[in-house]
Amino acid sequence: MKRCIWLLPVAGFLFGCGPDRDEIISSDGVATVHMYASIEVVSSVDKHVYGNAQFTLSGPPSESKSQDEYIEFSKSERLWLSGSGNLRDKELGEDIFSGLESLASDFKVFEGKVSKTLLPFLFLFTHSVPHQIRYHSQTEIEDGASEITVSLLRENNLDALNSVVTLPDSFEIEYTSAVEKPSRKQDDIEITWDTTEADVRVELEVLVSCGTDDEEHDFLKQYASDTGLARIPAGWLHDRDLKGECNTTINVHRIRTGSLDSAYLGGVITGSRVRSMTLVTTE
Amino acid sequence: MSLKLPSCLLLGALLFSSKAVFADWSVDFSVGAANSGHSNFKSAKGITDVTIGYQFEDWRLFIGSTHLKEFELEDFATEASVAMRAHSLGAGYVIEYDFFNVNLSGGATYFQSEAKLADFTVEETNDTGAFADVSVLAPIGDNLSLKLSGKYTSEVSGANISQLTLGFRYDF
Repeated sequence: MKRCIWLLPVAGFLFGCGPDRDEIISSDGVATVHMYASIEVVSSVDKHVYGNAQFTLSGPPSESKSQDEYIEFSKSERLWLSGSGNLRDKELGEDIFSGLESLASDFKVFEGKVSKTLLPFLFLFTHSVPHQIRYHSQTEIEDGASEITVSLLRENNLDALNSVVTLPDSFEIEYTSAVEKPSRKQDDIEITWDTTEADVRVELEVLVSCGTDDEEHDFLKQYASDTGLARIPAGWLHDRDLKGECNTTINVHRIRTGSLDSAYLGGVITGSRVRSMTLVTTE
Repeated sequence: MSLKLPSCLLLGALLFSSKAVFADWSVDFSVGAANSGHSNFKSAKGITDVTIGYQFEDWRLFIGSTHLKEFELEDFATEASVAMRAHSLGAGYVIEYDFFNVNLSGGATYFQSEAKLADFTVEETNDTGAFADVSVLAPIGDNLSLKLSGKYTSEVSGANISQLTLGFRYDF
């Protein structure tokens, strides 16, 4: 046995000793109370609502280091997105066929998508290994409906049925600056919208793309309160790589934080409505 | 156990009867497909049906069990299905022709249904409905007949179930 100990450093040498990385673990044996949930629900201009969720063991995913354990749910466990409450409370009625059809249009299951990372192999090669899993789902909501529920149903562990968020009110955005093609360097760009709410914060995302260069430049600005106005100051979008006239897409996210089911260790659920507009900016 | 009483009664009638009568046990086994009557649900394929019957002269009593594999909801992103299991009690009249005979039957069926959404059991229900059955049997051996059967069950858990099965009957 002792004679084989020298194999360990050799194996480390051959396979490369990369940095610690994120890992995916099975939910089997992980109590709900040890799960940290990060859930966002997004509605664009149509009736579609998109859900994204990640679950990490024992705490939030850390941004600076990569040693998080992402939870993959087993087949008997399902995460649901719905505009009409949680699945356990539902009854199909006498006509179970029609009831099930109605339920299938109301409730959408989240599907996991694994992302991979490249690790060194024999120093000359790389191989990809799964390191994170993110869950996605989408559903449609009726006009006027805005309460979205994300529920986790587990067979051998505690359910987390009621993570609920009310989407911010629907809104329209308008470009209100006087200049038709504002300069990124010299002009303020002003966007207004017609609805404001006290418990809503705002994120402004600007994507600038300059024709021949396929690369999109991404700018992000956050506002703690919802005033109905976002001003992009002159120079903020200025970048030496951006030349001439550029297509500039402005996404206004109005975001509300909801209430996460208490069965989780902790986490956050947010609901946002997004409106977009595109204008041409000059250098 | 439930077959003993009718069997004894019929056997008694047979013994005390002055003329020869026909009386026989039989077992049917069939496979086929079923439709729920709901346009958004696919037909259930691969259903199996087993029936034990006792025929006395032109009349036949039977009990049966049918396993209807899942009726799946079509064109939905989320998988949804209803699986059903049925237990039937019925009686019928046998019309004999030269090369085949026709069984006209009716009775009651007890349905157990399980509705699932993406593998999650949303609801399990029980319901009872009336059925009508037409079967055509063609002898193909000493005790064996080929059986084609159409069965309609009304109003069970919101569905009108139509079944078409093909199988065999074995007479003891």
